[in-house]
Amino acid sequence: MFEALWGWPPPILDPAGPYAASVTTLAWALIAMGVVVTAIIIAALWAAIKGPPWIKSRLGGKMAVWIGGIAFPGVVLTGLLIWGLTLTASLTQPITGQEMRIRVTGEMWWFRVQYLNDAGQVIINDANELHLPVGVPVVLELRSADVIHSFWVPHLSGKKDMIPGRTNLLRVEASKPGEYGGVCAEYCGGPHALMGFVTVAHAPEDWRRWSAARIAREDADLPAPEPRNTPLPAIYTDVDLPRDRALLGDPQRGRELFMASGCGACHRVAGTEANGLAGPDLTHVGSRLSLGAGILPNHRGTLIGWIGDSQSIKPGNRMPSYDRLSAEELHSIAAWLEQLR
Amino acid sequence: MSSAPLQGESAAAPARRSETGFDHDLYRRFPTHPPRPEGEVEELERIWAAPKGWGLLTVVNNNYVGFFYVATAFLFFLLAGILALGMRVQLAAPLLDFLPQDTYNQFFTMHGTVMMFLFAVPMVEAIGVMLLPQMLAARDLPFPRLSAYAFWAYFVGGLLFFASIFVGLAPDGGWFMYPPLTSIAFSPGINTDFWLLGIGFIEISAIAGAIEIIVGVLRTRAPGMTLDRMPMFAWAMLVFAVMIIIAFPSVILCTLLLELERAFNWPFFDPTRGGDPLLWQHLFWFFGHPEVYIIFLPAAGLMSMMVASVAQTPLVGYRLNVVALVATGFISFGVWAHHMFATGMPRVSTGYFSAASMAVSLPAGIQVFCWIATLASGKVRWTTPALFVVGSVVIFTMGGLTGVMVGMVPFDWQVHDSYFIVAHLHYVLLGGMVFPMFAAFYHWVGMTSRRGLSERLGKWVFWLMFAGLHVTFLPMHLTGFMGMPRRVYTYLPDRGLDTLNLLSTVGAFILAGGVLLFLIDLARNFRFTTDDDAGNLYNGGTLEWLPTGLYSTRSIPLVKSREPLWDDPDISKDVEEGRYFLPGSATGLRETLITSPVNAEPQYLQIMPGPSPWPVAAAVTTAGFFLALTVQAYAFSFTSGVIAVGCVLRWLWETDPPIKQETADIGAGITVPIAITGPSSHGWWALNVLAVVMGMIAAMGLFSYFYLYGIHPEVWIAAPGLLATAGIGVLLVSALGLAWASRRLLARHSQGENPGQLPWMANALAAACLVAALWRDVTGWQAAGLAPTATGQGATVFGVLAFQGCCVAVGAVMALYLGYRSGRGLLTGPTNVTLDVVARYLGYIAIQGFVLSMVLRLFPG
Amino acid sequence: MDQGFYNRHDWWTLTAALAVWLAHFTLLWIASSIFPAQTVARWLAMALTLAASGALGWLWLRAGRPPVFRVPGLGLAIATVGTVFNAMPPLIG
Repeated sequence: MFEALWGWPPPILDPAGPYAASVTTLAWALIAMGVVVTAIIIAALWAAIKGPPWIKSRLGGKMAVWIGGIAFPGVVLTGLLIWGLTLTASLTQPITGQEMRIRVTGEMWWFRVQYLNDAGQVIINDANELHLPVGVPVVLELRSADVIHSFWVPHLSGKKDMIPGRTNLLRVEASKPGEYGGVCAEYCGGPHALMGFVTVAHAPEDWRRWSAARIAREDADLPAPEPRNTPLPAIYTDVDLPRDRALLGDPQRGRELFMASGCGACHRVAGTEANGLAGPDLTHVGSRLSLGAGILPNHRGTLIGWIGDSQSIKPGNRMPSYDRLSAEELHSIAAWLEQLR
Repeated sequence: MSSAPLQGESAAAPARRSETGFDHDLYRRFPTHPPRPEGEVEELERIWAAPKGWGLLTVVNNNYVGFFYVATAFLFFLLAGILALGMRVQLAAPLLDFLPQDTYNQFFTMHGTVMMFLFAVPMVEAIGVMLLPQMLAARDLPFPRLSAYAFWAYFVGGLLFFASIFVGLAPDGGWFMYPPLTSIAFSPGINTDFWLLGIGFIEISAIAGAIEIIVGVLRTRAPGMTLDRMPMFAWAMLVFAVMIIIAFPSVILCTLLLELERAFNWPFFDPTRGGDPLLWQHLFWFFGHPEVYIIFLPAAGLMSMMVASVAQTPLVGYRLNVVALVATGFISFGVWAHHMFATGMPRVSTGYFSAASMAVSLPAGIQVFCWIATLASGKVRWTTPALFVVGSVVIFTMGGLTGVMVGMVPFDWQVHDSYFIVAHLHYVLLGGMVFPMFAAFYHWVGMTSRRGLSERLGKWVFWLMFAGLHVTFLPMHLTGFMGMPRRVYTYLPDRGLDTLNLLSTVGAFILAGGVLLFLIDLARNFRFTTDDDAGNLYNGGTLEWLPTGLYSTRSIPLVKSREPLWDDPDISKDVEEGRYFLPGSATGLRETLITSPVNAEPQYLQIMPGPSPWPVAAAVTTAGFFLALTVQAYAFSFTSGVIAVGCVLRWLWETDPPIKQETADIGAGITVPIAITGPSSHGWWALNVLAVVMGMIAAMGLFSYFYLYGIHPEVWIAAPGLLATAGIGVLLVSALGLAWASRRLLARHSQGENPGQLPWMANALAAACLVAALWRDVTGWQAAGLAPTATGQGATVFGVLAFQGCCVAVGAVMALYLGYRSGRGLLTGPTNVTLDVVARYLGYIAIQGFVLSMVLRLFPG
Repeated sequence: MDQGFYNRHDWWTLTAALAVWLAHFTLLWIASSIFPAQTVARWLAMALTLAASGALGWLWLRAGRPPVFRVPGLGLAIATVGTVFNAMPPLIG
């Protein structure tokens, strides 16, 4: 559920994968160290100022400076450094070339996702959502199309920057099925605050079915499924059908409007004439958990809200607001997009 | 309360061995006994009197300049704080529209930029300008007009820069301004240029201050104040100043490079043409991390002194503390890439920076335990400074611990660029600098105000600020853990961030309430004065608490311990009655005593300048030059720049006056020379510091060249031929030889003799050789097919040569200036300060040019 | 601590010790940047660590084997800890 992607417990302390779990252990140890040492310092200050003379004389000597300022920190820091270096090494094992690879490209202000086969060719195109099989180590190829962005799914791993001109590699692995929120974590101007994505971890069998369907759908010669009339979306339960027919929206008309309004110049829908690459791929937009790059739940209301007035929701984003479309037209387009699952 | 004499020495013999040949037995003549002649003090007052009314713009005395400086820095603190309050209101709840996106992005950029560049560093420098001369019992800083210039440049430049926010033109790329976001493609407006040119030029201010502080701390201390007896703040400022001259050149260079990229399309940071965005990050953070220690160390020095005063006992572990300051200074230069752990650096590299980040916390820990030990050795009276001091230790410790946490690479990979870092940085900066600053305000207000501040209100100020700080920033550790990234103008509901952010906003207003109360107290009680001050309210033991006037102390005492006022109850009276060094003016002009660096043995008497309009005029026109460039008003900019150069030259004209007297009596019949040249003169030291600054810029330029070669070797083309290169080398070596020869030519003449045309012409010829070498270099590269807009190689080669070009241009101006002085008969043998400076400068530029030229042409070969 | 800064040599030793640390760190970093993830960088690191340790030891002897309580001793101690820390990444990481 979109609403449950974030919240309590804090993602950094609620790992869903082995790479994050080892860091969580370190995090707890560091928190404990921080609390303990702060308590020691406060106690030392208290004792120094208000304590009995025998404590004051101990604290007032050079020996206290040696133990408290040099010996004790030296030992603690050495231990931490060894732990940190070993952990870093285990999180950055050399890439064997056998891992599953997904290329994620940071754009202003969304994430382009492309699944690669063993030969490095793109076999699935997507946007703002990542699908992983549980228990399988995945290597993400992180790139940027414009400025520096950063890829961060705190439940699954630390972050890594997406820097133009380079490809950074990040290992992620989910250990249980679920949905996890992600954000861009490097200021990229404009609506950086509203740039995010969703990561979905599937049981391995489910993931295989999912990817097979997606790969098949990418086949260049396969036309998109025809729009079909569907039941009313669940949120509209009090609608009087004959009078408010417009609320249903006509998916066929929606498809025509989509092409006629020029949406295809930026957005690709596999198997149609829409093949623009400037914006997120919409081939499977109906099945996404979020819209607008991880910031809105995906349903009829947010779909028409986004198309009709994305500039109010995410000021500065690269998609203009289509406020010249009527409500009926927006509903039709949304009705078609919902079917692109 | 008095410190025991240091082991192995008696109170009457302050130092063991002589450093300069000065006979220490002469010290036994002090304090002198016969009463001082009538009118000596009045004469001193007349000589040091400050101008009135508009004349205050021309004042150079540190009492005034330091006060203006502190007040301006505090103003920027308040302005940036108001920006922060606006930001916190916007973040009090999700999806608010109090500050729309663009405005918020400008606000947070300005908050960081103003706090770091216009408040933190200038404030500690300002406190140094105000307090250091008094702490060292010097009459003023060694280059008063330079500090006036630095202040006015900062004042005008800073205010104009801040004004950009009122017209919506404030920079919005974050205080760290990473390209490509800040490249022309993604930031087409002049907002970014405001930052690059505005801040780039304020660095001049900081470097000028650094020169002053190094020379001041090492050469103007009271006799007998060996390095071992110097106030801890003086040690801290010495380390601070050395760090500035090594770190600031890096940011000067990278702002210059980004401006070149934006204005002329030289691709330093453009990966499609052989540049690299990470080059900026390396250059910026090589400055940026030492910057925060530059901010912290002086405050730590103040803390060390206040802790002693609060506990009424000398600092425990003085020498350990000094070692800690120096060690922190060194190690802080090895941690910069811990800001870049998430950029995909090789693993081993991250390990090195993590290791150094662990190491840098050791000296800080030593300092904290010295403070605790001092508090334990004495008896603490709970005054307002005491509250702020103890509070600082707690806050800074917490911030330092989160710093150790983020020094661990895997942990940093999770919390980098999240609100956890916002929490960390505010704890260390507020605990390590802001709270000590407030403590210092209360502690030292008696030096410059007729009344002290209110103790009753002060306790309220402290508790509001302390509580406010924790309520604001403690929750941010948690919001970071919950995944809230930094630099966001809003956040979404259903992420669990609402209550925590609201709490932070409430805390910010509590903190602001404390500051407001402080301002009210200030308005009610602070009354600026230079001679009728409230005095030693907290019973400090160091020299700034001697009775002072605008001339600083009536006489300069002989120092025998670290807390002279605690160890010698008569010292204030003796100083005031003129029983020590320099009880009046020996020459009828403003003077101070120059002493040797280690043992502070008197060496010579330096004549000091009085009020002058040239520094402020030069500062305003320099500011005009840079800011007009930002708005592309090129004609105005050029005119302003020319006038600025003219003002500087006019100012320098007065710095090498012929002196009638040769020696002066500095008290008890001891005579010293008046102003000398050569390795002991402070002009020589200033030049050396400048050489370090320029050398660091050159070194960073070469680093950029090597770095881009390492990333994109494929775009490199072959260098011009070896014969041409050898020719350039010959020209540069000739320049060096000519500059060196000019001093030898002058030395052949006797005192006061006119040496003819040769000495200055040798320098002019040297400058001509430098120009010729540069011209051949540039045209040679162009002929080889290199264009600055083409590749990273082109950009760095021409960028480095452009820098050399600026240096050569300055050298040419200096040579002409020297010629003019010679023509006026002011250049006489056997040694002359102006010729010394010009010749050494040209010689240095020749060496710098040689290294740069050869490396660019011979590597990679 | 009873000698203090009258002795320029003490001060020089402190600066030299920290300079050794800085040189060790810088050279190790440059080596790992020029040869990322290659064994030559590791060997260079070990050789440089040996050299740095030798330099620090020589400074210590030259200063008259000062105890850690004195200025040159403390400076050498901090520099040694820092050098040991520097040496860990190529061995562990």
